[in-house]
Amino acid sequence: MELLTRDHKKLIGKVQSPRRVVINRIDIMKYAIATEQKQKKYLEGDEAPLMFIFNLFNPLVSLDALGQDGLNASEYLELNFPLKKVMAGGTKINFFKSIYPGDELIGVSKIKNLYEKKGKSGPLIFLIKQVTVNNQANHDVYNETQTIIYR
Amino acid sequence: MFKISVNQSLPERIHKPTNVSLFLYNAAVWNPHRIHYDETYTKSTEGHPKLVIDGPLLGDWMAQCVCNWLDDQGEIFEFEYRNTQAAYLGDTLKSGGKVLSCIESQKEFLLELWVKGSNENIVAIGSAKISISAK
Repeated sequence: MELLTRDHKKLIGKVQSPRRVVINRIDIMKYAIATEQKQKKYLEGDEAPLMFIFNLFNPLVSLDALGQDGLNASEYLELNFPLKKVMAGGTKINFFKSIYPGDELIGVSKIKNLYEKKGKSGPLIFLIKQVTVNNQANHDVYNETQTIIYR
Repeated sequence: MFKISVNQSLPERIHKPTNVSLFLYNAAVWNPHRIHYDETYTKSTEGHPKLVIDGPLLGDWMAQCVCNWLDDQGEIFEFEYRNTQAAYLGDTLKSGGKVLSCIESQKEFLLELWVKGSNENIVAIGSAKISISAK
C-alpha cells in the first residue's frame, strides 16, 4: 500500500519563507555545556560548535501549537502523513564559514524529497529537507540536508 | 604541520548522558519532543524501552571527536551522519573514528566516524572531510 498520495508528492520543492537568526554568546555557551565540549572557544561562546546549528531554523511556535508528542503540530497538519511518530534520521552538512556571536544568519528551508520504505518493523516515510544558510554579508555559511523519518 | 596517516585512529571518548545533560541539550536546541524527557509517554505511546538520546547529540559527539583531535590545526568542511539504531538513557556510548583516505596531497582527508554502544554495536555512523592548516 502506498502511504504517500499525489498531494504529499506536491510538497516536494516547497520553499519556506527565509528565517533570520542572530547568534548570541549565551546560546553558544549553553549548547557547549550541554554537549560537554572541551575547547575553550566553545565553552566561552567565542565560536559555535559545528552541530550548534541543529534546529536553528525550525519555527518557534506557541505552546498551544505543540502536539501530543511535544513537536510542532502545524507541520504535521500541513504534511498530513499517515505515520505520526518522528525520528531524526541523519544529516549532511557542507560548512563554508565558522559561526560567531553577533552573526546574523538567514536560512531558507526546502522540501527536497519525500519517499517511503519498508523498515524492519513496518513502513517508514522519509522527509528530506534542505536548509541553505547565508550571513548578513550574503556569504554562504552552510548547507544542510536533513533526513526526518516518520514511523 | 599536523601529521596524518591513513588508518590512523582518532582518540575515543566515553559518553554517559544523564537526565540532566539530556534535558539541558534539548533545552539548548529548543527540542520539546517528549521521548527525551517523559519516560511514561516514551514507553506507553512511542514504544521505546527508555528515554531516547537525541540522534543529533550523537552527531555532535562525532564532530567533537574530529575537532578535539584537530585542535585548531585543521577544520571540517563536510560532515555527514546517520543514526542506525536508537540509543537510550543509561547506555554507555563511545565515539571514535579513523582516517580512511587522503583526498588531496596531504591537505584534505576523509574520516570515518562512529558512536558505539557498550557491546560495540554501532548506533550512529558518519564521515567527515577535513582540510589541514598550512601552519
